[in-house]
Amino acid sequence: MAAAAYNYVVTAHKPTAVTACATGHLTSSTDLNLVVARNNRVELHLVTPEGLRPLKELTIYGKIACMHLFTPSEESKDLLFILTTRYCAMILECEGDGEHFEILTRAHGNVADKIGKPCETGMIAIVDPEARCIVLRLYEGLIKVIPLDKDNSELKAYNIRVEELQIQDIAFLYGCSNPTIIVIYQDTHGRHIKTREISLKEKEFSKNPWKQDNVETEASIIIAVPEPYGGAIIIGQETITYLTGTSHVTVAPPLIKTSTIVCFGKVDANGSRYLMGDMSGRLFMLLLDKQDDRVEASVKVELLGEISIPECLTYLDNGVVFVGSRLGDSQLIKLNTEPDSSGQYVSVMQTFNNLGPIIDMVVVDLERQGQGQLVTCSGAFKEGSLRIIRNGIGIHEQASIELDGIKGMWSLSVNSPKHHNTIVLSFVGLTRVLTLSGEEVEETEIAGFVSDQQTFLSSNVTYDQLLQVTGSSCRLVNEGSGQLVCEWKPPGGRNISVVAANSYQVVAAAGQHIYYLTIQPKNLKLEASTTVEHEVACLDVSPLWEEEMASVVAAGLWTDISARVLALPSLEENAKEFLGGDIIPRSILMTTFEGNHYLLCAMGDGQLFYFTYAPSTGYLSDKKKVVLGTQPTTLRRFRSLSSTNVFACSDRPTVIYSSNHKLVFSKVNLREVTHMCPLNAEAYPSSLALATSEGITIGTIDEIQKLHIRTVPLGETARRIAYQEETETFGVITMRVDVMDSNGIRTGGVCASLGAHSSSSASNTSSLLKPPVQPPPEPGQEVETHNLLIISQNTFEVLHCHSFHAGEYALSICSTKLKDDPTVYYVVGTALVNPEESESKIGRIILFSFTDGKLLQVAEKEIKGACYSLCEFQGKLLAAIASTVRLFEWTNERELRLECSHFNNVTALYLKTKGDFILVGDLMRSMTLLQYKTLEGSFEEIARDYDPNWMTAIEILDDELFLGAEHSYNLFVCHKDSAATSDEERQQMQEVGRFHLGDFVNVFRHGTLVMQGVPEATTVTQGCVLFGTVHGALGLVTSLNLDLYNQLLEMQKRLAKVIKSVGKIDHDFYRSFSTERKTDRCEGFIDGDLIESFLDLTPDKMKEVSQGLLISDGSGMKVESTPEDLIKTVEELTRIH
Amino acid sequence: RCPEPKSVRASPTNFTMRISKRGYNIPSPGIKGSPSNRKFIYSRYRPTQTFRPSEDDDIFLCCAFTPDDQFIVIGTTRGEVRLFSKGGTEEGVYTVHQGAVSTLVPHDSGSLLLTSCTAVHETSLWSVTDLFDLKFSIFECQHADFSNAQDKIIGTSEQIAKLFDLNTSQIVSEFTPKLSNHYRINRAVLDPSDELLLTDGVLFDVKSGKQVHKFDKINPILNGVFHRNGLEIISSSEIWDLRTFHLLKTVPVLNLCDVVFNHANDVIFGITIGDFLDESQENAFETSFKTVDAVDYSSIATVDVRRVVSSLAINRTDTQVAVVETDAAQDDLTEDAVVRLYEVGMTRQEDDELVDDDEEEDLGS
Repeated sequence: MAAAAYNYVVTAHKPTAVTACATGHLTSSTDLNLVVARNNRVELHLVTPEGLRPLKELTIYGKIACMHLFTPSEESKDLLFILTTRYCAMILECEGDGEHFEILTRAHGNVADKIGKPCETGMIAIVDPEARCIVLRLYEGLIKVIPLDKDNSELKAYNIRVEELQIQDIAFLYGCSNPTIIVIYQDTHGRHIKTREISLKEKEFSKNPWKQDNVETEASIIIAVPEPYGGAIIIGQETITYLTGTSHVTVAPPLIKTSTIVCFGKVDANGSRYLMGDMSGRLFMLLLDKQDDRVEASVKVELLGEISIPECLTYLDNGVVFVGSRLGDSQLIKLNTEPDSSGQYVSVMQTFNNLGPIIDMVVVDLERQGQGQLVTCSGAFKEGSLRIIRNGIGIHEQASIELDGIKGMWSLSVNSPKHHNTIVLSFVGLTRVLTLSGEEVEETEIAGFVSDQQTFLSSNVTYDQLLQVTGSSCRLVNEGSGQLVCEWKPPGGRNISVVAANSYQVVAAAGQHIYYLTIQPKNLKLEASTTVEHEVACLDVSPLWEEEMASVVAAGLWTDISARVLALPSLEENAKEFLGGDIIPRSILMTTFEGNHYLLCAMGDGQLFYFTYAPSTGYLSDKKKVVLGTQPTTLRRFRSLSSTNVFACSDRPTVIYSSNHKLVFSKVNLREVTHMCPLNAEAYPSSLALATSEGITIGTIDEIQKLHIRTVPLGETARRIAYQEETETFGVITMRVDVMDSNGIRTGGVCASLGAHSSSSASNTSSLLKPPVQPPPEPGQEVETHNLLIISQNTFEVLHCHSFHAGEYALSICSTKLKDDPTVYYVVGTALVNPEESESKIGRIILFSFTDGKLLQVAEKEIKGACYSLCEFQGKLLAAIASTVRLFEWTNERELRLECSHFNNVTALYLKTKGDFILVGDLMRSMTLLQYKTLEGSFEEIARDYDPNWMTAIEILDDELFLGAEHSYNLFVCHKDSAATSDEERQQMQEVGRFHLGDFVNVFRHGTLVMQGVPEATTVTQGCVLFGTVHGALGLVTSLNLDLYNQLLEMQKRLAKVIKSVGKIDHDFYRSFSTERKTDRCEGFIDGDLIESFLDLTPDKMKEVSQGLLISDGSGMKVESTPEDLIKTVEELTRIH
Repeated sequence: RCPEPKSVRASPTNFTMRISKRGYNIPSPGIKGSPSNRKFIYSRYRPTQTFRPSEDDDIFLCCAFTPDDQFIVIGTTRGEVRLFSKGGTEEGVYTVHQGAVSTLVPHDSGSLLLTSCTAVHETSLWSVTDLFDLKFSIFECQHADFSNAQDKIIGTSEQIAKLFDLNTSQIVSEFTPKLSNHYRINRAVLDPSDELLLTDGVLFDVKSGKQVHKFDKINPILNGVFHRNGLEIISSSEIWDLRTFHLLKTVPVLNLCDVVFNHANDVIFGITIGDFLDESQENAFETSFKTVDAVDYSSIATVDVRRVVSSLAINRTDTQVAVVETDAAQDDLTEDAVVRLYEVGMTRQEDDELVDDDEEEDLGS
C-alpha cells in the first residue's frame, strides 16, 4: 500500500512585502483609493484627510505578477486588472456604495501559451491609456494583446510576433489614434527604442512610428509621458533621456549613478513631475519642462530624501506618497516644500510592518515559559533587522512612574463621573494617593483614608462613597467631602487578613473568620459571619453575569489547600474542591466569559486551577490546571472592547479570555507584573496601570490574539541566526554593503556591525586563507563585508562584531558543543568568493567561543568549497560543503578532523538531522536521506527523491516523512518506504504530498508559537513546523489523523464551491503543484487558509457546507455534521497558530 | 581580451554569490533557470554507469530513456533493441529490424516504442506494455518520430515527409518539396505546435499542405530541427528566424550537429554527425558533445568523453544523459561501443583527503 501524508498547512501571519501598488478611483468616481498588492493579497484603502482607511482585503488564488488600475472609456470609475504568475488574468470592479461594496469579476481568463519561453526578466502588463487594450510581455519573441471589449466576460488574448527578442521594458504612448507601444530591447549591439502601432482589427503591428537606436546600454525603464508633452522618458543607469518622435534630450545627473533606479510614480496628470526610487532607498523628483515646440525640453532630477528601499511608488494627494517596499517596511510619506534640518524633503507619516524577506529564523523560548518566540532575519540591505515575533498581547506603554515596593494598586474616580483620576497605592506600612490631571501626576490625600497603613483594597462603592480596607478596619468615605463616614473593625480585636468587595458588598476575613458586610449609606452593615476550618488565603465576591450583587463568595484556604464557594448572605458552604499539593492559593476570582461562569484560583507557584461553576446547583466541575508562571499570581478583571478579560499578574503576565467558549491564555509582552488595575483616565482612556518592580506602567492593550512583533533594526542584511542559550546570545551573520566614493569607503546610515561594543577581524585572527590583496575599489563600487554579530538576548545590543576577510562570505552558522569539550561554540562556515569564478573553491569553518563578553577564535579549518550549512551531529560537526556532505570530528587537540563524506549532490545547500539520519537538500536534486553508520564511520545513502526539485528549504517531519520547499513556490512531502520489498523501491523516495503555497519558503523550523502544556492546546494535530517566506509570511505545517484529514478534505471541496474566488480562479488549479516542468494535483495537504475562512461565512453558507458532510462522532460512527460541529473543528485548528 | 561588460542587474557569475542573494531576490517566473544556473549545471557531468553489449559482435548505436525513467533502451547494429534497467541488468533483447537500428523513440505514454532502420528503410511501432509486440511497420521510411501531440508519426522517405495516424498506420498527409536541398541526412520534423513541418530544407504548413518556404542550403548534411520556442529553426550552425525566414544567427559550435533539447527546453545538446563518406572532414570523429544555452545560443560547454560520441539522450527530469560512445579507432570505428550514463550538474567524485585514483575510466562499472 502506498503511504500517504496528511498535512494541514496554514498561514499564521499574512505576507507583508508589498509587490505592487496603484492609486485611482475604484470604489467610486469621487473616492481616491490606494490599492496595495502583497504577494497573493490585495488591500483596498480609502485615502482620507486623516490618513488611509482600510476598506477590504482580497485573497487572490495566485501570486500577483502585475496589477494596474485603469479607467475604461466612457466610465468614470476605475477597474482593477490583475495578472497572476500562473497566467490568470482578471478585471475586477467594485460595485455598491460606501463601505458596503462587493468585488465583481468583470472579466477573466487564462493567457498562458502551451509553448513559448517565458521571459527571463519577468512578466510585464501595460494598459492602453485610452483603455482600448492590454498588452502583456510574457514569452520571448511575442507580444500578447487583450482587446478590451466592453461586455466580454472572457479575457481572450492573441499573440503578435516581434523581432525584438530581449525586451527590457514596454509602455503605451499617450495621445495616439491607435494603441502604440514603445519598447526597449537589446540585441548584440546594445539597447534600442522602437515604437509600434497595434492594429486591433488586423491583430498585427501596422507601422513603426519612430525609433531610436543605441540608447544607454543599461536603459531599463520607460515612462510614457501624457499629452501635451507626449513621448517617453527612458531611465538608464547613468542617464535619463526624454524622447519624442522628433526630439531627443539626454541628461546624466551624477546623483543617480551610485545606485539603480527601480521604480517611478507619476505626480501630475500633465506628466511634468515623476517620483523615482532607487535600490539604495533614495527618492528623487524628475521634472520635465518644455515651454513650446521650438525650445528643447529640460529634464531635471532632484534628490528628495531617504525612504525604505522601494518596490513601487504611488502618489496619493497633497504631497502624500505611498512607498511600497519588499525589502523593508512600507511607508506613507509626506513631501515637504522646505527641507528639514538634515536636508530631507521627506517626512514619514506612517510605517507598515514588513517581516519580509524572512531569510532565516530560530524558535526560542527566551522567558522559558513554554511559549515559543520567533526571531527572524528580516529585510535586506539598510532595511535589515531582527524581528521578535510571539503570539501574545502587546502593551503599548503610554507613561511610566518610577516607584518601588508597590504592594497594591487601585484606580478610583473621585468626583469625576466619567474618568478615573486617582490611583491608590499601598506599600508596607504605607498608603499613597496619586491624582491624575491630564498627563500630570501629583501626590494627594483623601482625608478619610489612613496613610500610615498598608491598604488591602480600595474602590468606588455605591451611594457615592469610597472604600479603604486596611489590616485594622474597613473605612467608608464620602466621595464628595472625602470624610470618613463609617469604620468597621472585626470583633475581638482581630486583624483583617484578606478582603474582597464589589460596589455593594464587602467580605473580609480575619484568620479563619469570615465577615459579610453590605454597603449602606454611611454605614457598613455586618450581615453574617462564619468560621472555616483553616485560615483564609484569598477571597472574592464578584457578581456573576448581570447580577448587581454577588450571590456567592469564593474563598481559598490554607492548610487543606481548597477552593470553596459560600452562599450569601448565609455564608454556608455550597461547594468545596481540593486543589492538591502544598502551595497555597493566592488569588481567587469568579468571572463570566461569554455567558459561562468560571472559578479561577491562582496558586503561589504560578499554577492556575479553573472550574466551571453552575449557579443553579452551586457546583464546581471540569477542574483544569494551567501553568502561567513560577511566582505567586494575582488575578484581576478588566474589560477590553466590551469583553471581559482577566489579567494574571505574575512573573509571566498573562491575559485570560474566552474565545468561542474556550479559555485562552495569552502572554503579555512585559517581564513581570505584580499588580494591575484598569485605568480609564482622561489622558489615558481604556488603559491598564501595571505595577512592576520598578514602578507603574500605564499602557493600552493590543487587540487580543494578535502576533506581537518587535523590531531590532540592524541597518544591514541579516542572513543567518543561531541561538546560544548558555551565553544568552544570538549569533547573527550579517552583510554590510559600503559604497566607495571619492573620499573613501562610505557607509550608509547606522549599521549594527559598526556599532558593536567590541570588534575583531579575520585579518588579525585568521592564520588560514590570506585572501589575495585586492585592488582598492573604484569609486561607486560596492564593497560587501560579512560579519558575525553577537547579540544579547535581553537587550538586543550588539556585544561583539567579528568581520570576515574581504571577499569572504559567511554562509552558515550553528551553536553547539562538541564531543566532551564543555565549551559551547559558534561555528561559522564561509567561502572565499571570486566574482569571476563560477563557484567558490575554498572556504573556512571557524569555531568561536563567547565568554565574559569576549569572542575568541578557537579553531579554523580550510575547506574545498563554500560551506552552505552546518549542524551538530552526535557530538560532531556536520557540514554541507559545495557538492559534498562532510562529518568532522573534534579532536582532543581541538582541531576538526574529517571523518567521512558523501558526494552525490550538485550542491548540498541544506542539512537537517534526526537520530542517525541526515536529510540533505540539494540545489536542484531534491532531497536525499543519509544514514550515519557509527561503527564504520561512514555515510550510507538510504533514499533519494529523483524529481528535479530546486530546493529552498527542507525539514524532517518524522522518521519516514520529509518536507521540502522548492523554488516555484511549492511544498512537497517525500516518504521513505522502509518496508518496500525491493532495494530499488526503498532507495526511491515517493512524493506523497504536493501543495502550491504561492510563496518562496526560505526556512523551516520545528516549533510552535502557541503556549505548550495548556489543556486547551489542541490535540487534533501532531507536530508543527513553522516556515518563513520571502514575502514576510509565516505559516505552519502540521499533520492530521486520517479521519480528520478526510473530513477536512471533503469540507475543503465544498468550501471551494461555496466561496466564489476573486477572478474565478479554480481552487484546485491554485493549489496544484506547479513547476516549469509539470503540474500535478494537490495531494496530502489541506489548505488551512480555505478551511479557516469557513468561520467568516454567513450561517446559511455554513449550512450549505455542513449539509450531508459526514463526520466521525468519536465512537467510529459517521454522522451528518452541523455548522456547530464544523465551527468547533475549525476553531480548534485556528488555535494552533 | 577584456571581459564582456556585465549589466548591473545581471545575476552574478559566482554561484555562491547567486545563491546567497536568492533568499531576498524573488525570482521572476522564468528566471529560475537563469542563464548562470544553466551554465553552472549543464557544464558538469559525472559518469556513473556504463552499459556494455553482452555479445562481442553487437554494437550499440542509439539509446533512449523510457518515459518512467526506469529503463534505458538501446538499439544495436544487429537490429536489436536491448532493454536495461537503471540498475544495470539487461531485461530483454528484441529483434526489431533486419539492419542496424538507427533511431529509437519511446512514446510519452510509455506503452509504445518507435524504431527505424535507415539501412532497410523501415520503421516499426512496437507495443511495449507487457509483451514486446509489433503494432505495424511502415516501409519506405528511413526515419520516424512521434508528433508533439503524440498522436501521429512523422516519417521521412528521402525528401518526402509523411504523417501517419498512430492507431491505423494510415497516411494522413504527405509533403513533397517542389525543389529541395538534397541533404545527405534528411529527417523531417514538426514544430512544437505540429502546425509547421520541415523536410529537406523546405517548410510546409501542415493544415493546408502548402509549401511555405525553402531555406538556402548552407550545410551539405543536415535538414535541421525546430527550436522548442517555435520561433526558429536550427540547421547545423545556422539559425533561421521563422518570422522572417532570415538567417538570425550563426552558432559555430553547432556546426554539423544533431541537436537534442532537454525537457525544460532551455538547453541544446549537440552531437557532431560524423560524415562517414568524407573521413577527411575535420570533426568527423569528435569525442565530445556540446551544450548550448537554448535561449541565447551561447555555448555552455564542450564535454570531452575521449570516445567518439554517436548518440545522446536525456532523461525526463534532465538529470541524466546517456551517451553512446565508440572507441575512436580510425580503421574500425564500431569495434566497441558502450552507453555511458552521466549525472548532469555533478562533478567527478574527489575526496580531498584521499589521493584521486587518476582518471578512472569506467566509474561505476
